[in-house]
Amino acid sequence: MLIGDPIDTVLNLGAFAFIGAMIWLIMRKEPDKPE
Amino acid sequence: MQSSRLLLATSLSLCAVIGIWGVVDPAGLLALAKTIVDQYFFSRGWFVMLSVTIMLLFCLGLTFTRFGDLRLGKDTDRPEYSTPTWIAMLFAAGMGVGLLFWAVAEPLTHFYFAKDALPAPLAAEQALLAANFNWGIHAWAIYGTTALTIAYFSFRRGTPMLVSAPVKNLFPGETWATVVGWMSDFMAIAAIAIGVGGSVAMGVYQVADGVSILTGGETATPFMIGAVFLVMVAAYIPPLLVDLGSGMARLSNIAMCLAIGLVAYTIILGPTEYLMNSIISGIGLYVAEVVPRGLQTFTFFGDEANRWFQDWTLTYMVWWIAWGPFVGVFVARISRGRTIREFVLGVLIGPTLFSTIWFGAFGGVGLFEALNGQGELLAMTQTNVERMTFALLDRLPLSTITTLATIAAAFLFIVTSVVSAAFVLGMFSTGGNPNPSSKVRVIWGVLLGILGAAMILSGSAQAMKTLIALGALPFVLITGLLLTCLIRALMLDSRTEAANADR
Repeated sequence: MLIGDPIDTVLNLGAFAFIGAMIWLIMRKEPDKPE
Repeated sequence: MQSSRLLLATSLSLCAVIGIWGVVDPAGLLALAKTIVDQYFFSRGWFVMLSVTIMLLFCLGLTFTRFGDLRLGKDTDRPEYSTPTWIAMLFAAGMGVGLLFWAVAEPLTHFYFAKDALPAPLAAEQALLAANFNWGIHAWAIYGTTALTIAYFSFRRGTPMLVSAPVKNLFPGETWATVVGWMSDFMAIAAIAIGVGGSVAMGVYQVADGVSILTGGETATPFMIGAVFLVMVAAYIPPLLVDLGSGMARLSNIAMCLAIGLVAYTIILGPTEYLMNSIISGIGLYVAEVVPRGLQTFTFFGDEANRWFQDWTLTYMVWWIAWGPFVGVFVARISRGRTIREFVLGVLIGPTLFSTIWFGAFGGVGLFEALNGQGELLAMTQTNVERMTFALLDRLPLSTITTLATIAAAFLFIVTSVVSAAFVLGMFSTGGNPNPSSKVRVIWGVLLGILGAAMILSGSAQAMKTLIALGALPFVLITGLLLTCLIRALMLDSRTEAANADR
C-alpha cells in the first residue's frame, strides 16, 4: 500500500500550515497603531 | 511583572521535573524523549534541513544588499570588542567543549560507518565532510539568524533582549502575539536549560576521563565522574554571585588559545604534510558541497543511512537550534556597533573556518591512523568514544601536558557556558531584565547542575544528544518565526526610511 502513516501526514500538514502562516505574517498589512 | 513571575515559576518547575525525573528514572525519560524525537525526525527531516538552508541563504544574501550597511545599534556606535576577541567569544559560547569531545571521535565514527559501503579513500573524504558539515556554516547560520534578529530589535527598535520581543514589537496588542511570545520565552528557557545541561554532562565525561588517564586509571569510575561534577559545580557557582564583566571574555580567550595551541601542536608534531593536505581537501570538498549537502535527506539510501542521518546531521541541526536562543542573546550582546555585513561574515565564516581546520587536523590524524596504522583509534569508536581525544594525544609526545591543556580547556569552556547560560536564563525569566539578581542566577546555576546530573545518569553520549534534541524541537518553529519577524521589520523599516527620505 502507498498510504502513509497518519501521524506523519498530520505533522507534515502542521509544517505546511506553519510555512503558510509565516508567509502571511511577512506579507500582511501593518496593523493600525493603537494611538 | 505578574507574567514574568509566572514564566519564571513555570519554567523552573518544568526544568526541575525533568531534572528529578532524569535522576529517578533515566531509562523512562530517555525512552519518552526518543519516541518523540524519532517521530518528529521521521516526519520532518526535510523541514529542519529546509529551514536551516533558508537561514544560511538569507544571512549570506543580506550581505549583498544595502541592509548589510545597517549598523546594529546607533549609526555612531562602534564595536566594543576587537574582531579576534569577538570571534573567540562567540566560538566559545557556541561550540566550545563539544569540539574537544568530538575532534577525533566524530570523523572516525563516520568513517567506521561508511567504510563498508564505500572504498576507504572515499569513505574518509565523506567522513570528514560529514563532520565539517555538522559543525559548519549551517550551525552558525542558525545562531546568526537568532542573534541578528534579537540584536536588530534590541539595538535598533529598543526592545528588551527576549526571544518574544520581536513578535510583541511587530504585532503589539494582538492576543496571538502575546501568547506565542510567552510560549517562546518559556520554550527558550527549557531549550537552553536542557542544552546546557547536556553540555555540562559531556564536559564532565571529558574531564573525568582525562583525570583518570593522568592518574593511571583504565576508565573514569563513577566516583571520579561524581567528583569532577562536584568540582565543576563548585567552580561555576562563585562567578554567578558576581558581575560577568570582562572576566567572561578573558576566560573564553584563554580557552580558545588552548584550543588553537592544541590544534597547532597536533599539526606540527603529527604527520604535518598529511594533515595540511587533509585540511585543504576538507575545505575544498566542504565548499563544493555545502548547499546541496544542506538539502540532503538521504531518503533513497535505505534504513541504515536514514538512521545515521537522523542520529547525526539532523540531531546536530536541532542541537544548534536548541543553543540558538542562548548563543543568540550572547552574540547579540557582544555585537553592538557592528554592521549587519560585518556581523554575518564574522559569525558565519570565522568559526566555520576554524572548525574545518580543527576537523581537518584531528580527523585527519585519526584517519591517518585508521588508513596507515593499526586502526586502534578506529576500534575505539565502538568501545570508548569519550576517550578518543586523549587516546590521540597519548600517541603524540608530551601527552601529560596536552592532556592537562585539554582538561583545562574543557573545564573553562563549561564554566563559561554555564555562567553565561545562567545569566541569559536569568534575563529571560525576569522579563528581559539585563541584570538579573544573583539569587535568580544561582537558582539557574543549581538547576543546570541538576539537569547535567540527570544527563550523566542517563548514560551514553547518544542519550544526551536525544535529550538535547527534545528540548530543541519547539524551537525549530520559534527560530522560523524570528526569521519572519526580521524580514518583516527590515521591510517595514526600509519603507519608513524611504518615506522619510521623500519628505
